Amino acid sequence: MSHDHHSRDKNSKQLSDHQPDPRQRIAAKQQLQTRSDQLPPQARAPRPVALGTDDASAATFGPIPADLAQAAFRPDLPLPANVQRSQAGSATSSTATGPSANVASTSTAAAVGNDTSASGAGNAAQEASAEDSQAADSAGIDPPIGGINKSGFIDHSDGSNIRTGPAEAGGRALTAQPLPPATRVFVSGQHPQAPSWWYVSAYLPSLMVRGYVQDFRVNTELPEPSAKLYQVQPGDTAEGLAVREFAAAVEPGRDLRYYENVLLAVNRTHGRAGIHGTFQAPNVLGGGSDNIQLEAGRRIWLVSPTYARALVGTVPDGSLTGGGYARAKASLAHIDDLLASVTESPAHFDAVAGEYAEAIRDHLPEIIAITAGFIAAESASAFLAATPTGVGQLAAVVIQLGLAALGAAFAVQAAMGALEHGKQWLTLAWTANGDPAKLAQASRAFLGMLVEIAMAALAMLGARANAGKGLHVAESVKITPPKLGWSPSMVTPDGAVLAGGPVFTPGSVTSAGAVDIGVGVTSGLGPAGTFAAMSASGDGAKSQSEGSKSVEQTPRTDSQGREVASANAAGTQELTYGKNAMIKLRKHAQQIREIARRHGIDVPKKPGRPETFSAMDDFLNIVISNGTTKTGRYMSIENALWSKLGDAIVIRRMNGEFLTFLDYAKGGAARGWDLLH
Amino acid sequence: MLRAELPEAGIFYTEDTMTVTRQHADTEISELAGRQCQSILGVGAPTTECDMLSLFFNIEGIWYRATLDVGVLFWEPSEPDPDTELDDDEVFIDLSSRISASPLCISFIRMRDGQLHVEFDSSQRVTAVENADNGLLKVEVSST
Repeated sequence: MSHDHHSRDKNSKQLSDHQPDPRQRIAAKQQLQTRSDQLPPQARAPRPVALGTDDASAATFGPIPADLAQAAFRPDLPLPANVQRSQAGSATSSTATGPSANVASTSTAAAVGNDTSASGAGNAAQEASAEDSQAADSAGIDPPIGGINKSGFIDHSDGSNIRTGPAEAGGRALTAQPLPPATRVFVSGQHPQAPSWWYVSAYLPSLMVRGYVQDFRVNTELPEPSAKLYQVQPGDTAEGLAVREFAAAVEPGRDLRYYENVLLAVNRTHGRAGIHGTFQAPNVLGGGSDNIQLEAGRRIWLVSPTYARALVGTVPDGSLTGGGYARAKASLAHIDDLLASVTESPAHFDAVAGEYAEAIRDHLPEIIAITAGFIAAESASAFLAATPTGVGQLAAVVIQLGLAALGAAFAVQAAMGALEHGKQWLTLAWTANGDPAKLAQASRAFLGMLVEIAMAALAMLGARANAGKGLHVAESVKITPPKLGWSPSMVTPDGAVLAGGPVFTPGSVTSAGAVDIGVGVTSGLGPAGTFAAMSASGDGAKSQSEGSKSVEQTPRTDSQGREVASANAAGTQELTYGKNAMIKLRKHAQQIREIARRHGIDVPKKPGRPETFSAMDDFLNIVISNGTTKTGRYMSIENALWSKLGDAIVIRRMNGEFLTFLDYAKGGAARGWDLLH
Repeated sequence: MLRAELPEAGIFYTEDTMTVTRQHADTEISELAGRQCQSILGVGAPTTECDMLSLFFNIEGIWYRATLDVGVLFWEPSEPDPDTELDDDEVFIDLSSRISASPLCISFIRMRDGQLHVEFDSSQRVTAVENADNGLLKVEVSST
C-alpha cells in the first residue's frame, strides 16, 4: 500500500467526500511552519513524477558523485547550477524514463485534447485531437501516463475499485464489486490529471482488468518479485501455508519448519503483523511445532520456494541482512530481467519504425501493463517452470494476450510472424543475467513482436490505413494461463503400458468487457486473494450503484489492515509541532521514511516540501493512533508520551508537541521504552 | 552473525561492508577510531559558518550522517543525496577544506553532554551542539 504524497494533492481532493479532509489538518499545522509558508506557489503543486526512480537508489553507499562533490567542496559556487543538475539527472537518468516521458507527453496531449473537446471549444485542430484521443481508447479508459512499472497488490481491507478514471472526475467502476484485498496488480502509469490514481492491470484468477485505482490502496514493496500477498483466513496455520506453498521444495535438512521460519522472517522484516511468534527449530524433532501463529484477517507475504531456498543460512536467525536479501533476490533475477525487457522497451523505439511503431507507441503503457502484469502473475508458476519448448508456448500465449487486448484475438494465424520475435524476446531476457546489452536486445525483440501483433490486429480490423486510430485496448482480458502438468500412465489398446510424461497445456486469451466480481470483498478469499465466483461479461458496464458507499469513501488503513484513526482517538493528545518543526522532522526524515515504508507508506524524498511534511505527519499519527503509548521521562523531559508501533517510536511532550523520533531496532535511547510501564 | 551476538550499540555486519549506527546520548563510536575520514560535509545555507542541520562523514568510502536531537546523537550510514537532504536554499558545505590535513585519521568520535566531538590524530576536531533557538547544530572546526 502506498500512502504516497499524491493522495494528498489537489487532484485527489474529492477522494473521500464524507470524511474530514486530512489535508486541512496538515494545512493548519503547516501554518506553524514559517519555512513552509515561504515556499513558492509552484512548490505546492503536485510533485513531478520521478519516473523510473525510487528511494532505494538513495540507499547505496559509495563515493560522492562528481557534480555533487563540486558543489560540496565549492560552497561559493552557485548551488542551483550544480545541485539542480544533479537532481535533474537523478530524475531522468534511467534508460526507462526518457522514452516513458515521451509516451507520457503523447498521452497527456491526447487527454488534454479530450478535455478541450468536452469543454466545447471546437476548432479543427482540437477536434482532430479529440478524435485521436478517442481512438486511443474507445473502451472509455483515460489514456495513462506511463513510467511507474511496478508489481504490486491491493493492500487495503476494503479492496479497491478499478475505474475508467478518477472517481472525482466521473470515472466509472469497471467491476460490480471492488477488487478484493491481495489482488495482484501491475502498476504501469498514472492518470495524467490525477497522479494519485494509478493505472494498473489487475490480475484475477482468470481475468485481467485494466483501469485506475487509488495509489494508497496498492503496495508495490514486494519482498521479492514472485512474492504474493495473502489474506490470512480463519483456521489457517503456518504449517498449512508451508505445506501448500513449499511442500514440493521440502528436502532432507530443510523441512517445512524451515519454510515456516522463512514466512515469519520475511513478514517480520516487512512489518506485517499477520504472522508472529518465535522461530521453529528445524533440527529438533517433535514439540514446539506451533511457535508461529497467524492472525486471520491480516495480510502477509508468501514468498516463492526459490526465494525461500536462497535464504538458507539467514533463516531461522531472523536477521535478514542486506546480504541475505541480495543473495535471495539474485536467484530471481530472471523475472526481474524479463520484466525489465518489457518496461524498458520504450527506450528502444528507435529500432522500430513505421506506422505500426506509432500504433504501438500510442498504446504502450496499456500493453506494458497487460504484458508485465501477466509475467508478474505467472512468474512463480509457468515462467519458472518453462522448458525450452515451453518458451515458444509461452510466447504464443503472450502474443495471444496482445491480440486479445487489441480486440483481435482471432488473428493468431496472421500473427505467426510475432512468434519468432516472442521466442527471441523470452530467451534473451531469461538468459540476460542483468546484461544491459542482452536486455536491450530482448526489449527490441519484444517491440518487434508487438509490431507484428499490431500488423495482424490492424489487418483483421481492416484499419491498416489508419494505424494510429485503428487499435483499441480492451477493458479486460480473460486468461486461462498455460500449465505444465504430468500425464498419467496409459495402456494402449494392444496392452502396452506407456509411462506418463510432461504435458504443456496452452493457455487461452480472449478480450472481454466490464466484469462482475460476484463476491464480497472480505469474504471467501482464497490464497493470494483468489476468490470463488467471478465471471466476465461483455454486456457493458456494471458499475456500482450511485447510492452505494464507494470504496473511496472508506477509511485508510495501514499495511496491517488497521484503520488509520484520527490523532485524537483513544484519548491521545493531537500531535503538534513547535517552532522548529520542519528542522526536527528533517533530522529524522530518513528514519521515518524507512520505517514508514515497512508499513506501506511512502514518504517523498524532497525535504521541506508540504507533501513530504504531510506524509511524515500522517505516519507519525498512525504510530500514535495505532501504537501503544506509555508515559515516562525522555532525556530531561518528564512525563513524555512515548508511542510505539513496530520499530517506530514517536515521543511527544504532554501537550502533544513532537519531541523526537526513534527507531527501536537501533537501540540506545529507544530502549528507554522497555523501562516504561 | 547472529543477532544475539551483536553489540547493543548496533554494529551490523553484511557480507563485505561494515556499517555503524548510533541513537545514543552518551556513546563513543570506537569502531571507527583509527579509520581515515576522507571528507566532511555540512547541510546548511550557503552563507552560514556554523549553523547546520546535519553532518556527513566519508569514512573509508562509507558515508555517515550525523545529527543531534534532544541531546541524542543519530549516526547512521547515509549518502549526502541532495534530493533527500537539501532544501531549496541549502547546500552541502565542505568542512574538510577547513582542516589542513587530508585524509584525516580519526582519533575518536564521542557523544557526551549533548555535544558530538570528532577528533583527529592531527589534533583538529569537529564539534557540534544543538542550538535550542533554531534547532540547528552549531558546528565548529578547530584545533586543540
